[in-house]
Amino acid sequence: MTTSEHAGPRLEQTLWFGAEEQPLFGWLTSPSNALARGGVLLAPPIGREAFPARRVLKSLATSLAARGFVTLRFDYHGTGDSSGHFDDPDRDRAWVDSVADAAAFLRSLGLSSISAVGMRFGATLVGAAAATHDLRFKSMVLWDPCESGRSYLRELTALEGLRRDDYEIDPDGSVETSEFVFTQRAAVALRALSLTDVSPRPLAERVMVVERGDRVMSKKLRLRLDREKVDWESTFEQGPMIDVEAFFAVMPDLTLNRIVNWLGEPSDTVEPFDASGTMTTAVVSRDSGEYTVEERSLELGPSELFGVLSEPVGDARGPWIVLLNSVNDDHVGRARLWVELSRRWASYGLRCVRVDLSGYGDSPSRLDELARVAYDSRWTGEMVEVARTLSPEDPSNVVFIGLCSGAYVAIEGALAVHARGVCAINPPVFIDYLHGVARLEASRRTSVRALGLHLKRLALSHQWVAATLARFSQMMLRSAYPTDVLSKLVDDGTDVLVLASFDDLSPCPRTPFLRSIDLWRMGKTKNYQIEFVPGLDHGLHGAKGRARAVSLLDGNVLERFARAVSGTDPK
Amino acid sequence: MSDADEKIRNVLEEHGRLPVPVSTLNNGDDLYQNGLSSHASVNVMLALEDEFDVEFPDSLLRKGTFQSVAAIREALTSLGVVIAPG
Repeated sequence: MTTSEHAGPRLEQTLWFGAEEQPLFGWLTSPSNALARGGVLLAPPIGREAFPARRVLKSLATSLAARGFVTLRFDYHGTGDSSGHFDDPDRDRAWVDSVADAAAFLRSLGLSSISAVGMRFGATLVGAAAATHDLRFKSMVLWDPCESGRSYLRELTALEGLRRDDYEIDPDGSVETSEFVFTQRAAVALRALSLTDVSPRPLAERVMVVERGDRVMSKKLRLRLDREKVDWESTFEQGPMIDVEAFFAVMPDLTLNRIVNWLGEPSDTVEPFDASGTMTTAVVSRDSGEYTVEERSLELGPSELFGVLSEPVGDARGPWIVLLNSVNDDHVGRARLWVELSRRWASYGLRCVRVDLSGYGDSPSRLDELARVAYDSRWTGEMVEVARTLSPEDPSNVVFIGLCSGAYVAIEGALAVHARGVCAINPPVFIDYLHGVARLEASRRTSVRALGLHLKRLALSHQWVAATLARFSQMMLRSAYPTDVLSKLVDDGTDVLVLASFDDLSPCPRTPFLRSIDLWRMGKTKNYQIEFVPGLDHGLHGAKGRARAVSLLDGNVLERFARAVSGTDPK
Repeated sequence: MSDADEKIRNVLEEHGRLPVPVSTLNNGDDLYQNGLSSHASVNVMLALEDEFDVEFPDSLLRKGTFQSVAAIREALTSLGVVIAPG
């Protein structure tokens, strides 16, 4: 394998830290001269809010490194790429301890001056950690802080209740939000965490509070924070950054500048640090399947795409499973599914890689405009790179898995390398149209490329028109469009699984007869399975529909690619 | 207009992120149809709680509660806020 690992001292590196049995994943961003003005841990929000915040905290880390600080952005236990599960017990203690572990790790590098930035519930956790552990923070930034776990869960409950007509508050106290479910046990534990109840000891030598200009901070929280040496800042950039899907999130440049300048104020002294001995591989799972599972990060191909490899400790088997992140996903996948599934499948012997397409997650942007594009034909080339890097002798030995635009990329990538399989969740209904437009975009003539781009934009706003146009073209221009994309895959011998919400593959999802015509149209063969999943929504936000889809996906992958090779029933 | 109605309207003006001035809306006008988003509704809820020193119970965390100035007024009344007729 020719992947290059993130290792050794460099400006930005991934690493594992914390207790060996519960390793936490992080990104260390450092000045390149091994001298620093101090360390700063960046505590992210929890749940869906963490996705738009990822890009922002990455930008903050880079800016602080340029000012001479070593920064650690990290995932709490059971979140992101760290070990554990979101619904493990003792979430309050585990998440507060994660903050303490991050501070301890920065000190272990030789840094004596440690500061913290916490956003949303991350701010609450940083405050709680400062109260319960001897962390001696130099500076602390509470960025749009939640007063408490109770107020945070209440805001989430209100948001769901105010945007969904069918939302019912569970009397047992559990909280189902978009994508994430806080179990009754977790909700009880988190409600007990509060910034206002923390000990009388100061949170830090100095505190900056960034409050939203469009949201009222509770009197109780303001009273508590007024006991600190606080610099108050107000921002109107928080809503456009965190109240939207990640794709539409706006970088809060003014707020970032203020935070960087404030953190950089007090100290000009520097001290040496050493990040060469950091852990780049960790055992993340011992509790399911046949194998212990290890993880490490990868840079894939010439585009240096960021990926995380989950692999069994022992003989791996079967094709490479590649889970794609694009547009609104994080590389942990919607509701952290890619992490949970890749670890589960690795425990049955499969090697799984979750990959960020360029412009998203932690992969580099090759071109500035790529960062805001929902469908880019160049991603197909990246899938070929990934397949060739992972399996140079047989690039077809991969299975691509994606959601929405990621599903489109998975399908195109599978076509390009004649992949063993593809699992497409809610692929855009106009994939045949996109496939045709991609040919226009590849033209050497500028005018034809511009036409392709224009047609693609049209499809985004009129998806069923695009789907109909593609179907019409296939009928009228058979030499140019001999068949549809999925049929091509099947003809290639690729195993195809399509999981779709009723709204995603039929223009008439509420009419059973018309829906049945669509099912017939999509057809089924030995290596082509399509499932309309009751309760599934396009973005996998709802817990019930998501659970049904995951069950089908999990069964399909293990049955076709793990069991087929091992000859044993993984269940 | 009662003092409470004025406070409600001020909260909507400051925290509702409405694309139209609140002064152009009648008490019964649908705020969602006039651009109130679900995220802005949460801001409005928190601001109302701060302004009137109340807490909306779970049963009131639904769209209908913040549908209009009149609906908000009714919800606040149900929470014991004394609102003089306007």
